[in-house]
Amino acid sequence: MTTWKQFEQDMMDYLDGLLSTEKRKEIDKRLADDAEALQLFNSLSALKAQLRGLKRIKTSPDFDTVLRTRIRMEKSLSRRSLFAGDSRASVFALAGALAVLAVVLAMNVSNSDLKRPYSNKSPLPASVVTSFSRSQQDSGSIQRARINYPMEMVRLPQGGTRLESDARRGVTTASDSSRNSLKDQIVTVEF
Amino acid sequence: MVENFDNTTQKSEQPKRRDNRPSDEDLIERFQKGDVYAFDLIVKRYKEQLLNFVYRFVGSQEEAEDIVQETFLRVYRKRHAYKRIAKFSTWIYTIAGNLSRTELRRRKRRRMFSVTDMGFEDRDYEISDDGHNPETQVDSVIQEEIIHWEINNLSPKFREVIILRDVQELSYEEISKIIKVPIGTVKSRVNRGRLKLQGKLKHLLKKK
Repeated sequence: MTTWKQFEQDMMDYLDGLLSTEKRKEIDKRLADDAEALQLFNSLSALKAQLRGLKRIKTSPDFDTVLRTRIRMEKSLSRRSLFAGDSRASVFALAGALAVLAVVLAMNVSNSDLKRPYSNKSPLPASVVTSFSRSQQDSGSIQRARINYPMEMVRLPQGGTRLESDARRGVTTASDSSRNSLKDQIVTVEF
Repeated sequence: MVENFDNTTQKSEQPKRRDNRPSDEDLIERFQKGDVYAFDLIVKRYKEQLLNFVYRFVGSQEEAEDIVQETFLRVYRKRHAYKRIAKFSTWIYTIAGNLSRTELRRRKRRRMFSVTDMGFEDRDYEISDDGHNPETQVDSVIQEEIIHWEINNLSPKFREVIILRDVQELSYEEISKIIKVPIGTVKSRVNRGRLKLQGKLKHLLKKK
């Protein structure tokens, strides 16, 4: 004997005509013997008939006209968006050209910067020169690098950089005079 | 000469005999090649089937018409997306089903906002009228209304399969392709949906 749940499943297949002949006979037998099963069958087959027989509604008389209008609008919109697509493409092309131009200009600027003799570089504090000990360098804890700076770019440890107040007053400090004397020399800073 | 959906006039084809009707797949293929009259035939063939499906799904004829219109617009717009490997009916039902589900979701959001906006005492919940006695209502129009109401009270996942299977009479295989779930799941949903409806409409069905 199948469970009620299983019987419900079989009943649905029975109503859909999906059962084998053998299985159908089994269901027929149960329907003959079981009043509750018969009631379910009657109820479900009535439901199926009701659903199949539901009144079919019809589209409103202006359905085709409205659809036609919407398609026309759709077509004109797509034509417009096609033009919009063209203008978008030209905007992208313009933006691309500008980007290329910007890159070229940037490259030119950096090249000229390389050619220029350090004038725009910020002075290197002299403390850098002395901040690493030999042992540190030998132990390899510091990555070694070598940079050549003209002497004028190096702030001397004594006297410091020229103070703005000194410059305003036109006072020549000790650091100024040593800087001037070493102007054309190159200092090698090692890291 | 007839005006067709492409806003052009062209010589109408000699209508083919019923037994020699072009298949849906032939029609969409012709439409893909630029024959706009084929689109007219598709609209003619499907507008009422789809309307009944969507109407039972969303519950309102006005909204259903709008969704069916949108479905045809999508077919028009995306005609080249259709590949002959699938049945055309599956494709168009899928579009209509998706649009209907979107509408139901939108409606649910609207309803949620409107309920949360109201004060507790102002809330006007729509409670299923389980107290109606169909035995006293013999008019078939009223019976139809009751069935329609109960179909609409099913959750969308049961409602959709019940409409496709028992109202539209599509095969389980096709339903499975339309809603993109395995056949076993479709069958289980149909069975549960039928039992739910049978429970709700017991009094009405007993009379039959």
